[in-house]
Amino acid sequence: MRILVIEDDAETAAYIAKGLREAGQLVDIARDGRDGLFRATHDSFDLIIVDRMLPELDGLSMLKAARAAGVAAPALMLTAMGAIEDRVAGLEGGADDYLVKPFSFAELNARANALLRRPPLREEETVLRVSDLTLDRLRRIVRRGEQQLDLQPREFRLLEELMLNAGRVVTRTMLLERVWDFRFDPGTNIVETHISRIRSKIDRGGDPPLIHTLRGAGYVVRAP
Amino acid sequence: MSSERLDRLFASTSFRLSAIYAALLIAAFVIAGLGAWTATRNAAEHEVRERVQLEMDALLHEMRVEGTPAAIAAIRARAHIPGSLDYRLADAGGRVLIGDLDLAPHKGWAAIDLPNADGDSRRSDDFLVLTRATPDGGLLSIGDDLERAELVRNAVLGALFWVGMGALLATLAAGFVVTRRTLKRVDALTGVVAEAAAGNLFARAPGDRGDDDLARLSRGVNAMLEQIDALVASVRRVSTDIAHDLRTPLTHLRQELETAGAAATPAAAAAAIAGAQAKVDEVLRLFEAILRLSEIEAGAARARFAPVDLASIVERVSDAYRLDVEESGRTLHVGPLIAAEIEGDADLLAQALANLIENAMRHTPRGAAIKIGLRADQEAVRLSIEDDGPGVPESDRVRVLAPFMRLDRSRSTPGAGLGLSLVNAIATLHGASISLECANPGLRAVFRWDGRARR
Repeated sequence: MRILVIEDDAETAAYIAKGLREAGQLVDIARDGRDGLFRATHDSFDLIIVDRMLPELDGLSMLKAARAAGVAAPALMLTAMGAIEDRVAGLEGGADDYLVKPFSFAELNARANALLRRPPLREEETVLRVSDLTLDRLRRIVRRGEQQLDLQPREFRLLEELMLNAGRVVTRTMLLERVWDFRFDPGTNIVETHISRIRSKIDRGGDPPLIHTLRGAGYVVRAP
Repeated sequence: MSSERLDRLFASTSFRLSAIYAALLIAAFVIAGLGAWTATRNAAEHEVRERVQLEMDALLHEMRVEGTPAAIAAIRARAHIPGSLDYRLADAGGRVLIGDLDLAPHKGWAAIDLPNADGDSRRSDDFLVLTRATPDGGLLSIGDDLERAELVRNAVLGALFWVGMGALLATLAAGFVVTRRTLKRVDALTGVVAEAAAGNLFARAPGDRGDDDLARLSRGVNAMLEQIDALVASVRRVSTDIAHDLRTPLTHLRQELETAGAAATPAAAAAAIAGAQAKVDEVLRLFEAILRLSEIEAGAARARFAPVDLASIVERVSDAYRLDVEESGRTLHVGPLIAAEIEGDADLLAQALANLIENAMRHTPRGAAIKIGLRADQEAVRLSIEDDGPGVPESDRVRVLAPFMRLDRSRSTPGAGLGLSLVNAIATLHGASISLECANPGLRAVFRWDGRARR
C-alpha cells in the first residue's frame, strides 16, 4: 500500500515513515501543503496522512483542494492538541479520521490500517465469526461454541467493533470514539473494565482466549 | 518651595483654572470701570447742561426785565461764590463787560479745553460752555467744568481698582492654596499608579473616602488595582499549580527511565519504559486539559452548537461509567430521564458529566451512591449529580470551580484539579449556571438552564 505523509516537521515525518515502512507500507513524504497537493493529485495513493498546520497551504485547504480535484484516497488528519474545532472542520473538509498530536505510533498505525481496509468488505456481513465465537448483528446474539452468551448492549457493541476489525489492532481511543462516542480521554478505565467483563463472559471454562491486549497499543480479536 | 515644584504648580490644571478665573475677573472689572466712567460722565454732563441752561434762562430773563447793568451786578455777585459757574458777557461790539471766560464765543453749546489758569489740579480740561445772544445784541456765555463728574469718576474707578486688585489677589491666593492641596492628592494618586506600574500591586491610593472627583478617581484606581492584583495572583497560582502537578509525573518519569537504563533484563527495561510512557501520558493529559479549558473559555465552540438531548447524553455517559463505578464498590443511580433539549456541544456536555462522575468516584469512600437526575419544568432545566460522600465545605464551593483548585485534603488523590473548572467552563459556555450544594451529606452539582430549554 502507498501512503503519502504530508508533514513539515522532519522528525515527525521520519518517525511516521519509519514505522509505516517497518509495517510493510510504501511511504512518500511531502514537506508542505503545496508539494503535498501536487503529489496527491499527480500520483496515486491508498492513504494520505496530512498535518493540519502546514507551510504554504494548510492541511485543511490542501485536502479540500485534493478532494475537489477528485482525489478519493482516505485521509487521516493530524491536529494539534486542544483544538476541538479542528476535528470537526477536518472531518467536514474531507478527512476520514483525525489524530491528536502527540500520538503513539501504535495509534497512528491502527487508524491507518482501519482506513486502508476501506471500503469495508465485512460491514455488510450479518454474522461475524472468529474461531468458535460468533456474533449475529441482526439478531444480536453472541455464541461461543454452542453456548449463547448474555451481553449488555454496550458490551455487544464493543465486541462487534473488535470483531469487525478481527486480526487488526483497535486502540483504546478508537473504541472510546466508536463505542461510546467519547471524544475526550476519561480519567478512568472504562474500556479496560468493559473488555475484562466481556473476556470473563466469552473466555469462560478454559477456552483459549480470543481477545488479546497489546500493551501500549490496544486490543485485537483473533483466533488463538 | 523649589522652582521645579512651582513650575509644576503653575502647570497644574487647577492653577490654570484659577488663572483663567483671575483673567476673567480683571476683564469684568475693566468692563465695569468703562461702564462707570461712561455713565458718570454722561450723568455729570447732563447735570452741567441743566444747571447752565437754568442760569442762562435766569440771567437773560433778568436782562430783559431789569437791564444789562443789573445782570452784570448779579453776575459779579454770583462769581464770588465758590464753585460757581463761569461767565462772559460781551456787548454788541464784542467788548467784554464782565467775566473771566477767555474764549471766542459762538452761539450754542461748545466743549472747550481750557488752560489750567488757576493751577487747580483737580480742575478738568473739559469745559462746557453755552453761548446765547443777549436782548441788547451782545453775547452771554456761561460755562461749567466737569470737575465733579471727574471726582465721582475717579472715586468709582479707584474703588473698582482696589476692589478688583483685592479680588484678584484673593482669587490667586485661593487658587494657589486649592491647587497645592489638589496637587498633593493628585501627586499621591500618580505616585500610587507609578508604583503599581513598577510592579507593586499592593499600593493603594489614599483619600478614597468622600464624594468629590478625586475621591471617586481614587476609588476607581483602587478597584482597578484590586482586580489586577487578583488576576495576577490567580495567574501566579495557576502557574505554580501547573508546575506542582507536572513535578510528580516528571519525577516518576525520570525514575522509570533510570530504571530502564539500568535494567538487567530486556523484560525489566520494557516494563520501565511502559511505566515511563504512562507518566508521559499523564503529563499530556494535563496539557490537554489546560488547552481545552482555554479553548472552551475562548468560546469558539459556540459557533457549532446544535440541538442536543440532555437525556441521551446522561444515558450514554452513565452507561459508560456504570461498570467502572460498580467495580470501584460504589453505585450509580440514574433518575427518570425526561427529554430536555438545549443548544449545545454534545461532546463537551458529555465530558462535563463524565468529569463530575469521576470526581464523585474520586472523593467518596467505597459504598457511596452516586445519583444523576434530570428535571425540567416551566422555569428551568436542571441536571444534577450528587453523591453521599463527605461533601465540600460551603466556604470552598466557589473555589473548587476555579482552575487547579483542589482542597488540601484531597491533594493526595490523583488527577489535576482541572476537572471541576472544566465543568464550570463548559456550563458557562452553554449559558448554564452551575452550583454546588450540600446533599446532606455529600455534594450535589447542579447545572441549571433558566427557561432556555426547548421542550
